Amino acid sequence: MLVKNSWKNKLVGILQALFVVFVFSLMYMPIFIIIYQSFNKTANSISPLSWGGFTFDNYIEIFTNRQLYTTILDSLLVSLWTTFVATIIGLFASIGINALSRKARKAMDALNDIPMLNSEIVTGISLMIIFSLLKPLIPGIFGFTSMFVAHIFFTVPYVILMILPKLEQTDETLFEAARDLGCSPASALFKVVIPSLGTAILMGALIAFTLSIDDFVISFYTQGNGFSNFSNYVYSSYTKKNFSAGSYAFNALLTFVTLGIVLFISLKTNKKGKEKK
Amino acid sequence: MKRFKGLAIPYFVWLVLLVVVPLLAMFALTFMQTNGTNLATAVFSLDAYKRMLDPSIYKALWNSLYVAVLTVVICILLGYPVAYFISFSKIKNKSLFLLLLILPMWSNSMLRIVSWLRLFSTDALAALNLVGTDAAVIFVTVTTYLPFMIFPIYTVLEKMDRGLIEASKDLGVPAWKTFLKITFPLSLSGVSSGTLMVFLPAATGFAISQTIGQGKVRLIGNLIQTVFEKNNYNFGSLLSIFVTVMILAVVGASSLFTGRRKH
Repeated sequence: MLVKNSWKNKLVGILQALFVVFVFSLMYMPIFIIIYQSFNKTANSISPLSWGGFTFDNYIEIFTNRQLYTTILDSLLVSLWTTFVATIIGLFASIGINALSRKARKAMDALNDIPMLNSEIVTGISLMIIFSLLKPLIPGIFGFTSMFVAHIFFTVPYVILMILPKLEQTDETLFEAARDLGCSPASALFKVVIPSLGTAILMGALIAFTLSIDDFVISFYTQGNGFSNFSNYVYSSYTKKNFSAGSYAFNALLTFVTLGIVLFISLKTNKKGKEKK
Repeated sequence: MKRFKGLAIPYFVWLVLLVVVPLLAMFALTFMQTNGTNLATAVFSLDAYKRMLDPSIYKALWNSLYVAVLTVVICILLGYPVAYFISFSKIKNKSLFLLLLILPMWSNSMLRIVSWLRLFSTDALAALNLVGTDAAVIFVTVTTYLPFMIFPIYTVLEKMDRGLIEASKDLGVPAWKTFLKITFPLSLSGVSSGTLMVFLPAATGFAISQTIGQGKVRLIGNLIQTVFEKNNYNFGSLLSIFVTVMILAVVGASSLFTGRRKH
């Protein structure tokens, strides 16, 4: 029976593989276009995607186009600070939420869910309204400050989402043991509980950075005074038709770097796994 | 660790300041006629509520629903088989597939939209006149949010007790029946969380409809954006509150369906 069906199984296997490849190619099409355009001499020509020859000029543009590198630096500034601060806030908020009584916990969870569930445009607008109400008090609020606060606001719930479940699984007796051995509550927290959350904290930081660097809508409403981010640069320069092909190059570069890091890590963990066997 | 309760207080205050206060401010704005957020010239008015009766709003709501529902359906049709095939394949390095799923998300979403726009305008595809159509908006929304559908389904399938499927097989149940009676019902929780994760951004987004739709595909997000652009914060606030209430209703209904999700 197995032998009889083997060609049939093979055919089904091939069809399945083809389907998977087809769906993945749909998701990867824009990535391929970005990489193609990053080396394309005529990336900005009127006839779209026509190949004008191979060049590194677009990569050089990242460092020479002032508008482009300013937004890239602005983006990195906001996202790196957001990652750092949101992870810390998320960590301590998680420790606090974990200690709450059941009833208080429920209210807190619901409130913490709102930034994740609500539409980005509503989040962006409600923050913009708050910042414009504060503007008479803090005149320079629009720009780095507003975008930074906004990014912390929408990334912290995701950090908590990563850390809190892990914290709930943490063995409380570890904390008690550290206390019994003479640790103060704070040092028991820093020496025992927080180190046990290592991967969750890292995941939280990673998700915060990913969301922050890619954000368009919330930054759209909280940018100002010449301070913007990469997504908004792409949007506005594309609509104003002064789009720099260096954008493709920057994005392609980012893809290559993240791919490199990820491959490096997976190769290393693979090796480790094999050594263990 | 109960003593650290106090650490939740600053974050609670922060959430109140940035979630509750803006919602209250918006609610107040709906009853006024103001110039932006300048309250000095504010007068009481119910104009915002009168404008809710405008047919353009129902059109935008209908478009949002239409785009989001179709996006979800196509995402399930494409995403479920992919999650299933990968989960049930004999390939050893499955984590590589997960990586391949995340990788597109590390490319800037706006630039990905622009790339699709360039592709749709090439000589080969220009004849189809895709730019500015519902179909193109739905297509790009699907390709953008597909990982959010594949992920939860894949996770549920991986966690599933394979012994059940083996047992069904041993009892002589045909494969398609095993799938319909065991695998699929057990994976529904993945499908429902994927649906929520795709439906909400698809229904309320405005970047894709603005860029690919070129102003011809107007979703509720585009409507809100234009209203605020015209400095009508009163009507805009009402629409925003309306969207928030709708989202909370959808989420509430879906959590009633699937039981309270665990944190």
